[in-house]
Amino acid sequence: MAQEQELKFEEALKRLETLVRELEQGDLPLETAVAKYNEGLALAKRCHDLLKQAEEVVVKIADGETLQDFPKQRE
Amino acid sequence: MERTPITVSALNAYLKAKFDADRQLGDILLKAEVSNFKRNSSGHLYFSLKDENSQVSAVMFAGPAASLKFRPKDGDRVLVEGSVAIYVPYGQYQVYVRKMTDVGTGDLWLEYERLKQKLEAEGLFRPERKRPLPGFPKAVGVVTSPTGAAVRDVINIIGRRWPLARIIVYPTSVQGTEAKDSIVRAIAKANADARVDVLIVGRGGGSIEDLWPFNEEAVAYAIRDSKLPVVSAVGHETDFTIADFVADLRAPTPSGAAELVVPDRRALLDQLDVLARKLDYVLAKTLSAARDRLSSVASSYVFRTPERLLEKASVRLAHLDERLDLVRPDRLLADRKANLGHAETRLSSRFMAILAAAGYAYGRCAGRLELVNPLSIMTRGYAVIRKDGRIVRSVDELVQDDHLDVRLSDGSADCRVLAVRKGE
Repeated sequence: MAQEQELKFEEALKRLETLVRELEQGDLPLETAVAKYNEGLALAKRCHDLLKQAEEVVVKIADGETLQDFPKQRE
Repeated sequence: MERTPITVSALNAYLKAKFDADRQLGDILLKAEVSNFKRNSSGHLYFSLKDENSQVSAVMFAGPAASLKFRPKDGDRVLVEGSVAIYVPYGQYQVYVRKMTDVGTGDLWLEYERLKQKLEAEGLFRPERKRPLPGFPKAVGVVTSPTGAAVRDVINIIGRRWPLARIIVYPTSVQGTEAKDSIVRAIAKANADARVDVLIVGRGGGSIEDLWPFNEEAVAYAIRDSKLPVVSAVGHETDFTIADFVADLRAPTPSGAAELVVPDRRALLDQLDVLARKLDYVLAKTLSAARDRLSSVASSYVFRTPERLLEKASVRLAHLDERLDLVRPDRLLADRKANLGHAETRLSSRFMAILAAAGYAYGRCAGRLELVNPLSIMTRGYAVIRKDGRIVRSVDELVQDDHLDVRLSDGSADCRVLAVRKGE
């Protein structure tokens, strides 16, 4: 679901920022640094994919008890 | 009859003096409608005041204009206090406005101030009530007219910045007497929808009467009671409604609200790009530091000439080997055997030497013994004389008639001393 993926985006971005910060402190053993780098790379890719997935915003109108498609904009 | 002409300036100056001297014109109260309203860049207001049949120019300088309680526009019915004077360069008279009130909305403003004070006293505007907006909303609820410009602006901007969010429009009427109840219902409906996590409440620009539903007490309480954070977006930047004060965040316009509730996808993509580049950079730095350490270790002498690492050890080993060799049992035994053989040889040769020496010594001793053997001496004619068993060595030991035992080499004789003579 798109909603879950957005939640994941926020967490993934936070995790990515944490990883970069940890790596920047620079006193990690090499194996740990490489592992964190790989994790960060995967997160960056995932975030990127999540951001790219939606092309057009979905608009609904709460008309009565149900949601209807919001009429497209007329030019 | 000769007449002297005067200048235009003189005429206008004369009229200005006449106007200025008039008590009535110095302080007038005028009822009129605003038209041709303009605000210049310095904040001075230029407009006309008119009624059905006539009009007059008016100016309100920035100073007094700053204390206006409303935003004048064409068609406003106003009450004006000021003076009338000639503007000499144009030869026009105009009203210099000191105070202006909106007759049409005068009661509304009183009501606005009263409600604002009441709600402020109730704590509805307190900063600690303001809730943070979700950073990445899944769905944005919009309480507004489904046909107005506001909803289009919101959809356009969210669609451009953050198409990952859904927009759910909660339609409401936004002007007229029924609007406040409609807005209250729409806010409640949005709150009942678990999908929504932030709410925009507002409408596009309009007159103070048009915006009035957002100054209603019921709407203020509905915003306070909303579980969802509310961003107010009513009219233009200069319009402040009660809803704006109660909302968690006030946006200047509906477009502004859309920008506040969702992040910008492009900005986030840029941020991701920066993070990914930082990752690369930091790892490259870590790796090159590790490589430097490795190469500095690798260039140390023990790796360049590893045999030197063994040098000390091999010296020690050789040393130990030698020492071990010395205590090897077979070697020890052989050594001892050799030592024994050696000792035996030395002993036997020594023994022989001793024997030889002893033989020689014996020969010599025997010879010397022979020389001192009293018997052999006696064979050469010597005798041993004893008196009472003791050998006599001097005539002083003898007296006449002593009995002596005289021993010769082959026997002895008992003798008697006849006389003793000394030194003969």
